[in-house]
Amino acid sequence: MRKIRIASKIIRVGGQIVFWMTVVGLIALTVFMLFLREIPEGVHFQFDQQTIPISDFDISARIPILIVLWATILVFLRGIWHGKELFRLYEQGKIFFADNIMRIRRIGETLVLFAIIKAIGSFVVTTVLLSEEVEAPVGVTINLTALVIGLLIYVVSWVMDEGRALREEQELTI
Amino acid sequence: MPIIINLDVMLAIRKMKLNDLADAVGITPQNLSVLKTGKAKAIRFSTLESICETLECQPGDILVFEKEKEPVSV
Repeated sequence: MRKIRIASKIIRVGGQIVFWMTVVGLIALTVFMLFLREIPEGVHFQFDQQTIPISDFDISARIPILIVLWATILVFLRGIWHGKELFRLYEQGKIFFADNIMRIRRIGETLVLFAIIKAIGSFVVTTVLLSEEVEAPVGVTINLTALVIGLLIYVVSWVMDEGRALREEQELTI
Repeated sequence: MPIIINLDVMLAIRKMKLNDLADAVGITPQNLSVLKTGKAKAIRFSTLESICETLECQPGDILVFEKEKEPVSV
């Protein structure tokens, strides 16, 4: 139990740092894309193997790309948040409780959501690139790995929930 | 749940305390309290046997089935 607590604390603190660094990065990115009229020449983003030459775009083209980045990063933050809360519960010694099973389920949902958002995002980015006459591969990318792992985690959380119900029943057998 | 636990009634009739029954049956007073308050999900035959033996009663004196009343629609 002590080992679980120590490892959970390290992972939780790491998750917290990643969470807040991402929030700061997101705010900086928004300011950079919306309020900097002239983005230095040659600045570009990489989204799902597509290079976005942001410095060539005007504000009307930057906004949809910013929305895609926001949606992707918010889903990522949701995953990090639930992971962080899960390890907080482990740190408190709560291993097979309804609360942490719910967190595991949320992580699974987040991965599925991430795959969906990335598919929509790649479509939006391709549309913007084509409308700005930038050469880009046409099509929608589906992140199958995230989708499959997300669904697997969801099923595992369901099995864990059944196990928790069995344990509770065992405890309440007099 | 439609199963009613009448353990408190039987304890009152036999003028026995919960702790004494727990001692006699060999389970903790906390577990017996869970049973008394109807929070238990199941009862072992061995526990029921010991309770009936100590209280000199039948399982039906402790466990009663009462059909849940259906809500009346107007």
